[in-house]
Amino acid sequence: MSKILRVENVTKRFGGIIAVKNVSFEVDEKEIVAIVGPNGAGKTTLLNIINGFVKPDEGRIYFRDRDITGLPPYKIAQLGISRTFQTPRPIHRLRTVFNIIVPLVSPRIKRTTGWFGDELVRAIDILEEVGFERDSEYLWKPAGLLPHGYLRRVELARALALRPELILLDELFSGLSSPEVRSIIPLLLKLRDRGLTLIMVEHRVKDVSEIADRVIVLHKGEKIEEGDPETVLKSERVLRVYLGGR
Amino acid sequence: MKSRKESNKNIRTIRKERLDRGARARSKDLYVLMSYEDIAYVILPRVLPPLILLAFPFIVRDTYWHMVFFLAGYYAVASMSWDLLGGFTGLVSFGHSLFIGFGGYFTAILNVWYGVPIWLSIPIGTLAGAAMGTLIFAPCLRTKGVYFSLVSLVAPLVMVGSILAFAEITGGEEGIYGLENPLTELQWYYIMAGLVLLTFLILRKIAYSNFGLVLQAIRDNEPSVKVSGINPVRYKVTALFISGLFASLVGSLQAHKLSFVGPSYFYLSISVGIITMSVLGGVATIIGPAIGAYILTILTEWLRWLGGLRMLLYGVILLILLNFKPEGIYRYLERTYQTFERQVVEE
Repeated sequence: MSKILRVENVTKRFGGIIAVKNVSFEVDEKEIVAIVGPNGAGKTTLLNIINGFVKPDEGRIYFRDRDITGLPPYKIAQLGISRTFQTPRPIHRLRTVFNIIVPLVSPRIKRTTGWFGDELVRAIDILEEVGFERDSEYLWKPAGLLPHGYLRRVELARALALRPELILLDELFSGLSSPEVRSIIPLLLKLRDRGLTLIMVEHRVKDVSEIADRVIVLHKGEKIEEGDPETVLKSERVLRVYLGGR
Repeated sequence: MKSRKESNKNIRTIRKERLDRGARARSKDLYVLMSYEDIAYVILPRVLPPLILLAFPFIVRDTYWHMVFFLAGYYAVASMSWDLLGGFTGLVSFGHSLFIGFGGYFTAILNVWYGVPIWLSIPIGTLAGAAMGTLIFAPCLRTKGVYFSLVSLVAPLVMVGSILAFAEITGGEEGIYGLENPLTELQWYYIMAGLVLLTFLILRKIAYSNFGLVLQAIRDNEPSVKVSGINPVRYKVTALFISGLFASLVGSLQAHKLSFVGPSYFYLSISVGIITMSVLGGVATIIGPAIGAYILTILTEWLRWLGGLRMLLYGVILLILLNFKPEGIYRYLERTYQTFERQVVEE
């Protein structure tokens, strides 16, 4: 399998603090990779670097062997990397369906699908895919009025609307009840089967052990462990980080 | 069963129902018209205002009021175009008079210095004015929120200084006189009235298209727009140019009507007036700013006999309105309109 994303020796400092320190990893196509670590481990910064919000001080990022380091976020998105945010950021005053139309008018959609149909129908299709009822009144409410769990799904729908090849999910499960988490997991697996690659950032290894093919553990900006969920859970260094010590 | 139905028929309960609920099916634009009342409810608010605007010169024959309405239209077009920026894109510009001034000056230079006829000087002057204004504002787009407002506030002031500095081309303090003005007061009135209607239709179309959706998304949440693969700067520049076109056109028309342009076209009071009217009428509604413009301009003329006290009263009225109806007049009217009730007989 070819590598869809290569992160090479990425380092980012904010003043004196090193947020991400010499991190390298590769992601295969159709893989679900989880990046876990305690608070302040640099997980979100790493996502921000991949998606272009933050420029790394050192290191390179390759998407399908194309150097994307330092490209503006919208260009990276147009190449096929979309993301969700840790705190859902809907466009509050717009109705939920209109939230999904925004990515649908991006040049990527016109280029990759040559599709000029009714954006509204397409937006409702996508929202249905992430678990909204087709005739639900939530679709027509301003997105700011939606409950938290629904906002996560709107975030996911917005990311999917771009027809991405790689999705960065920033703590998708945080703030969700376990039934809600369990209802999203099949959806993520379905996306993977459809050919998408997923990078998930989560707090705990346990949350992602069910679906992740590979887990990368960050601590204080450094990669301390990488492997399938079981081995990572047993790793002594990881246990030390999570159970205190060091 | 039959007996209950019979008895119900005899009771004939009367229920109140919101008029728009009955007339309007689930979809927003689909109406089921059942009576003349329904038809009037749907059509009158849409048809009456433009009709009044077009019939006004026949109702009031005083040329003075035609001129007042021209001025109101001038502000209405300018503040509707401001609304696309300030209301929809979140670029609260305090320097919208920059476009008006550029439109006026380019038209005047073309018409007076180069002898370009009026039917060419207006479109060329408008385009040039909008382009020039966009060129000046575009670098300011890197700043956001209050910072953009501050930067946009300075731009027209700088232009006033430049006009005084390049007096050979711009006429300096005296401005440029002697623009061609072949039209009568009544013709100008109709040109402006038509422009107000046209501007409203075009801007509303733009604001509620997918393009307008993206603009609103940029206003509320720019990072989310960026990760959706859209370049916000491109959209903002386009919005600036479209908005600038209308403001610039208004300046250009004004220049021909008055046969004069001067530094006053760039004055801060015009920009502030535009914002006041927009806020009064209701931001992010397109029609709201136009309502605000007509109300404030007419009010200003009415209160002329008060002299200096006029501005005081004007301020008090504004304060009261903004305190009690902060969402703007249009939103208030819209809500009132939707609460009209009718009595429905249940059988």
